[in-house]
Amino acid sequence: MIKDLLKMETIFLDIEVPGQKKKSALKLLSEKCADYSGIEERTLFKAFEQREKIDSTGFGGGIAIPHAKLDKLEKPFIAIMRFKEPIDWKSIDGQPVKLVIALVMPKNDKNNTHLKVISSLSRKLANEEFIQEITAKENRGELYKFIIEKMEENAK
Amino acid sequence: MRQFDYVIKDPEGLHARPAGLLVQCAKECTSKISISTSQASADAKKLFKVMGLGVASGEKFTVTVEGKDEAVDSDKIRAFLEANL
Repeated sequence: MIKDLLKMETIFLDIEVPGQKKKSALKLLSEKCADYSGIEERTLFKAFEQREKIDSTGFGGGIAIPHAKLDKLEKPFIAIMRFKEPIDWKSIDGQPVKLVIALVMPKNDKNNTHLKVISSLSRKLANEEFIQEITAKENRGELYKFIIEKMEENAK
Repeated sequence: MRQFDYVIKDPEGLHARPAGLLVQCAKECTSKISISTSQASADAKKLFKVMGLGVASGEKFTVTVEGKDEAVDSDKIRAFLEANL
């Protein structure tokens, strides 16, 4: 499942965010996701922002899981973005965010992919070592390999 | 110890936003609170653990509340679930 959603091309490292603002970070995230998927940047940004308005997806430990739920989505995917400088994400534990795992998922999904992805990710993120590893991996190849390995373990 | 079962009515299951609120609610309690499904169990005060359960709509879980304020805390959690999930 994870291999269908996360690709090397959807991992973005060392991203510099102007003013370390959350809004600018979401904008950059939308831009990168738009380049990859062909979905309009504006559509993605609006969806990410709407979700953040309900409440922050900064779930603690320096990680945020922004999600965009879109009406007509052919290919759901996961993107990872790691920042050069941490961003104030108004996280529930007040900690700034170093890495986001963004979910772009369909709105009405009978398979509940969204819940499945979030829960299997969360099982990993409950482990501090996992968080340390993903924030420290040197390049996207290594990060990609690590996450795929760990998440596949998860599926067993 | 207090224990009760709850079936998720929210069509999206126990997803991120209500899970966050549930954890907040649990953190306001002095009791030790856990949520168990047929597959796993989680400390209700830890968000990633709660989200990790991936409880879907229509699925049942058991809430266990233990501590000196367990009667009050158990009622509080039950009321939260009924209002939000």
